Order: sequence, then C-alpha cells, then structure tokens
Amino acid sequence: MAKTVGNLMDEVHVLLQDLIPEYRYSEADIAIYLGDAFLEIRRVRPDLVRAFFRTDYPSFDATTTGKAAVIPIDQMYYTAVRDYVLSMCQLRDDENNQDARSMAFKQMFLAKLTTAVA
Amino acid sequence: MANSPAVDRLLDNIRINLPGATDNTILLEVFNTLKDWCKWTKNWQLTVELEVQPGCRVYMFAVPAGKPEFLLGVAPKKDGAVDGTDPPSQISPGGPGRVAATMPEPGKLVLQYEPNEPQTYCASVSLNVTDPILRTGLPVFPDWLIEQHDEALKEGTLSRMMFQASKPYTSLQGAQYHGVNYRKLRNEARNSINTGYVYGGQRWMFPQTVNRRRY
Repeated sequence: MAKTVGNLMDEVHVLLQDLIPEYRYSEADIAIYLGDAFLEIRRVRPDLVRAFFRTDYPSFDATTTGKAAVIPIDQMYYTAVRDYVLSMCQLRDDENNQDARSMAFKQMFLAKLTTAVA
Repeated sequence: MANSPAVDRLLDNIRINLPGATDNTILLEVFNTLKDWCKWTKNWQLTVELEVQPGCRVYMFAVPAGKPEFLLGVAPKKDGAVDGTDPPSQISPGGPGRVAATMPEPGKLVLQYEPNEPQTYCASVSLNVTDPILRTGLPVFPDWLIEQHDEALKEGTLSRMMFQASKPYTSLQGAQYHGVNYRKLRNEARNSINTGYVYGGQRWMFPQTVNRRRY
C-alpha cells in the first residue's frame, strides 16, 4: 500500500520519541521538510521526480486531506524521504537534538539515493 | 491496457539488473532504445498504397501507427512483382520497375517524374516509434518486435541506463559491455532483416558492393 503523508508523520514521531501532542515536531513543520526533500531529490536523483519536470514540485500540508495524500515517489525510496525529514527535524537547535544523528540521517538519505548496491 | 507477456518479461529482465531504477526511467530508455533499433535495423516496415495522378508529384500519406522514417522503395502496383501483400523489403530502390522518389518529410512522397496516367503505387517505408505514449508508458509498436529481439532491446536499455550519471546502477563498464552486445545483436538483426529472415540468404555483411543478391 502506498505510503501517505500521514504515515510519514506518524513514523517520524515514533522515531523521534515524540508521541504526545502537542508535538515538539509539529505536523506542519514535517510537511515543510517533506516538500524540501523533493527539492533535494531533484538535485541528486532527477529521474525520481520526472513527473514534476513540467509542473510545480509537490507541496504538502498537515490538514486531514493533506495527510491522506500519497507521497508521490517510488515506494522503494520512501525510507530515503523519511530519513531526510528526520535529519531536518534533528537539525533544529533544540536541546534534545544531536547534530551527529542529524548528519547520520542525511548521509543515509544520500546513500540510499545514489550509492551503488553492489 | 496491459503490456503483452513479452513486454512484461523484457521489463522484468531489465529491472533485476538495475537495482534502484524506477519504472518511469526504464520506460523512457526502452523508448530510446526502440527508436535507435528501428532507425538502424528498419525492422518495422509497412507498404502503403497511393493513387497517383498525372500532373502531381507530391503525395501525403498516413500510417496507422509509428512515424515513417525511411522510404525503402516505390513501385507501381500493377507490376507483377509487387503488390500490397508482398513483403515490403521486396521493393528496393533502384530495382527493376521501381519509381524514382524521395521522402523529404515523414509521410511526404515526392516523385521524380509526374505519372503518365492515374494508377496505384506501392510505397514501402520503415517506421519508427513516436508519440503518443500509451498509458503503459510505452509507444505503439508491434509485439513481435519485442518477442523476436528482446535480448537486444534488453542489452540496449541496460547500456543506456548504466550510462546515466550518479545512480545506484551507474556502471561505465556495464554500459560498455551491454552496449557492445547491443550493437552486435543490432547488426545481426539488420542483416537478417535485409535478407528477409531467410537462413543463409545472405552471407556477406561487408562489403555490400559485392552483394549481387541484394536487388
């Protein structure tokens, strides 16, 4: 089943130990980071966003409709998108955040997109 | 509209060799490979009939699918050797009874001389893939082309995919290896097509100047 924006928000909150509303990492922020992920993907793997070569890049929001939207990327790269969102969340200047963890997620994001498997 | 089993098998063969490749990109390169294939081999041919009239040298014609790319030959239909049911490759430019003509644009036939009387001409053309793309992501082309040359099309697509920059499946060595295989199969196919797939019909691939069976 295709992953939705709501699925991603839930998984990000789990991985960030942020399960109790009001969230530290709001759904609106996560939606913004998700949109940024597509800009970064356009830079390193343009073939993954070929559908948006002649249109605007997708934008996301935390409304009920927005959360039900399917993330428009091949599902094998869903975890890479999630890694990018996690790295951006961890990059915030909060006292609970770790720069090393943020960088690790960013590296995982890039590795999943570009590193040869074999 | 679903793909034929042969197309599905071709795509599966490509997918398992390209970890991390998306179907969209594979289909794009399959299109490019098909375009190169049709251009080099003239594998996809069609004979169209034209009603020619005295006083007119230019005729437009349409084909049901694909894009006319090369004019293979024109001959009067009443010529006993040629009619609409003959294999198109039997109409060769310069052969006996052939009509001098060119195709400066796809679908535009220009005769060198005006016909003397109203009659029917058969024009043999090679076709190539073109827009529109179907919902499957592939253009219109004959299924037998994939069934007969799936190995070559796989090699060509793999070569193009592996030549792309900064992908998990990027491999210059792989691109070269599959590229050599593709060109070898393409040349073999071209020879088979020129001889009408008759085994042993033509043993010379080069030089063509000593090929007296061609016309």
